[in-house]
Order: sequence, then C-alpha cells, then structure tokens
Amino acid sequence: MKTTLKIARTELALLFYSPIAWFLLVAFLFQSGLAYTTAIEGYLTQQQMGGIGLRYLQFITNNMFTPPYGIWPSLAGKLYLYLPLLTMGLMSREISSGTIKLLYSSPIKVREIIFGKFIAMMVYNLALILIHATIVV
Amino acid sequence: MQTPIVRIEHLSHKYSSSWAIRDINIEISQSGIVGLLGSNGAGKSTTMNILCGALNQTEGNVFIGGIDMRKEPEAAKKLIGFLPQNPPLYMDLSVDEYLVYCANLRKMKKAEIRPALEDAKERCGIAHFSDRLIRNLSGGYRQRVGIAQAIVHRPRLVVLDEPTNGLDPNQIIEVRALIKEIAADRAVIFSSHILSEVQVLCKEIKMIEGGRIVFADTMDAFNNYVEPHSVLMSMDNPPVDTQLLQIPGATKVDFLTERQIRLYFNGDPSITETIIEASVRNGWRLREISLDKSSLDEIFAQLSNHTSKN
Repeated sequence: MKTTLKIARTELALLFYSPIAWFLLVAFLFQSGLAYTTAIEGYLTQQQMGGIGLRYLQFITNNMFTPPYGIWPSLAGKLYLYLPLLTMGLMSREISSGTIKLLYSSPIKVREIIFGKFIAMMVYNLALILIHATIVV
Repeated sequence: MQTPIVRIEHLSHKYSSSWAIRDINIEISQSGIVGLLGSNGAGKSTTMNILCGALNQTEGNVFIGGIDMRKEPEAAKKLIGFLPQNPPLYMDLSVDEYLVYCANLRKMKKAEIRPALEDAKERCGIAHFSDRLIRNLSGGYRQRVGIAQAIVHRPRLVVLDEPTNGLDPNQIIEVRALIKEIAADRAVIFSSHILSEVQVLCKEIKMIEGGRIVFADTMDAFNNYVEPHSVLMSMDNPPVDTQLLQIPGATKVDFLTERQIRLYFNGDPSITETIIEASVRNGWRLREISLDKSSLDEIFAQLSNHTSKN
C-alpha cells in the first residue's frame, strides 16, 4: 500500500511538472464557468420576461445544483474530453521512455503500479471537480 | 559451496516467431564482474531483461540467490539492481526525487533511504547535482544517475546493460572505474559489444552469439584462446613452401604475394627465432617479420562465425 501511494505521488508530481495538467485545469475552469452561465441564463431571461413564466421559476438552487438537473450532468459530459487526454499516457509513457523496466525490475506487483496510477488520476479528477465546485460557490 | 547469486537454466525466449535466445545456461558466483559479450542483436539485452524480470521468458528458469524468479518475483527482485540499455529516468524529476522514488520502489525503510542515497550519489559522482532536473544533465551524468539508481538499495547483484554506450572516452574510463568499485562487494553482470572493455573489466566472460552461449570461461582462458597463431614475413628471396614447413612448429604456409608469406604455427612464439636463424642460414633475405596479433575483434568474428555455421 505504501509503495502504491508513492507511485501515485510521483505520478501526480510528474503530471504537474508538465504543462498539460495545468492547461487542462484552466480549460476546465473556463468550461465550468460557461456551463454555469448557460444554465443560469435561462432562468434570468425568464425572470426578466416576467408574466406567467414567473410561476415556474422556483427551486432554482435545486434545479441548478442537484442531478439530474443543472450543471453537474454537463460536467459529466465534459469530463469525457479531459480524462482520456490524461489517462491514455499513463502506461504507454512508461513503456516508450523505458522506465517501465525500472518498475518491472523492482520488487513490486503489477497491481501496485496500476493502483498507484489509478489513485493519481482520482486525485486529479477530484481537483477538477473542486474547480467545478468553486464555480458553484 | 555458497549458492550462486545467479543461476539460469535452459533459458529460451521467443519474440513472436523467432527465437532471440535459445537454451542459455549461466551460473554466476557471489562477487566479481562477469562480462556478457555479443554483437548487436545477439541476445544480451533479452537475457538481461529476463534476468531482471522486465521480460517473461518463454522457457527456462532464473534463480536469483536461489530464489525462483517466477515463483517469488518480489523476493528475488529485491536482490537486483538493474540498469537497462536506456537508463529508465524520469526527465522531469530532480536527481534526489528520482533516487528517493527508486529507493521507495525497492521497498527500503524510510530511515535507510537518506544515507543510502548519499552513498550512491557519492560513489557515482553526482552529489553536487542533487537538485538538478535529470532533463538538464548531460548524457554521461544521466548514465551515472542510472547507475546510482541500480545501486541505491545496495543489491547483491547489479546488472548493467551496456553502461558505457554513447559516452566519451573519458567518461568511459570513469564509468569503468565506478563499475570496478561497485563490484568490490557484490556481483556485477555487465554487457558490452566492445571486447577490449570486457577484457579490462571482467574476470569471467560469457559470449553470446545468435542467442546461444558460444564461450563461457575465465578471462585468462579467453586470452589464451586469442594468442597469435600466425606470423607475417616478407623475404626478398623466399623459399618454396615445403622448406618453410620443415621449420619445427609450422603448420601451414600462405603466399600472400611473391614475397609476403604468412606462416601458421602451433602457438609457440619462439618460432620467430627459428625462422630468423633458418633465413640467415639459407639466404632467404628476411626483411620483415611480425607476429600476427589476431585482434580481439577478429577472434570475436571467428567465434561468431564458428557458431553460425553449426
């Protein structure tokens, strides 16, 4: 378990030493902002138009922030774009740079390697979701 | 007798349809440097990768310190430090970060890591580069970081795959000295396609060609094997070949040109004296005589051809 965490830590460090991780965070931040604005825009228009539409203008918080309405489903839709960009290189980068031999010749199990990388990706995605959450707050 | 640190039994490996190595048997004792020699594509790297668990063999068994690599890979791999042909470096990490990571991968205890790290860096001469990114190091220093990585957990067996590849002559000398130092208290297996290098470093030599071991013995035996067996002469008034064959020890005569002769003999170098005496006595007018130092590279080619014909 300890080794798994070490692998995860190094993987994350490597990820953040490259510009791609930062770039994705920024792009995602922008996109979350966009998603939020789009979602709230409808209500705003409705409010400004007034009239009978105002009757349906209720539970806005609920409709914005709780699935299956509002911005969370759109987040799920957009993560599809980001995740493969990060995960596709996890093993193949090790193989192409030859560092896989370091892992293979070390006294660790393959599942420790994979789990380590998985944890690293979990943490990164948590960062993405936190960004989304900041927008919400 | 102590258990040998490495025992390889009937090792074979197949890449899709062609055999890279076939029925390799090696036994390596506890300490000293063993050279694995072979031309490019002979199977050196394949053997080393299998030895270190980076590749799964098709057939055969590998035992490290008596532990079966297939049954208990983790216990066996703890005894190994491996430097593949391309050092497995993470370019974006600093030297310290990288070595700590390697130490962790080898499951070292936290308290042991620091001193081991300093020791490895000291030995490899990279102590002043602790905080440098590996990306910013030159090739020679990257190679040293690679070696440091292989010795940081103080393994009993260090496997180095062409460690001097791509280094300049000065660096090669330094790396050789380093390898010698490392080998003081552990076994080192070291591969190269340069004969002189193996000759300088190793006490034992295994030659691989076409995936098979063609020569496996001590360095002394190898040197005996490559002693000169022919002498090159030029004479202004050369005799016919039967006369030359009468010289004791001579086995075969080749006329390269009218005046240049190559004489093969049974290995006793004192034949030159006999030839000179005979020349003076018979008026052959010997102008030049030299022992053919069959260069190691020639022997290499000979041995290689020898097996490919079989």
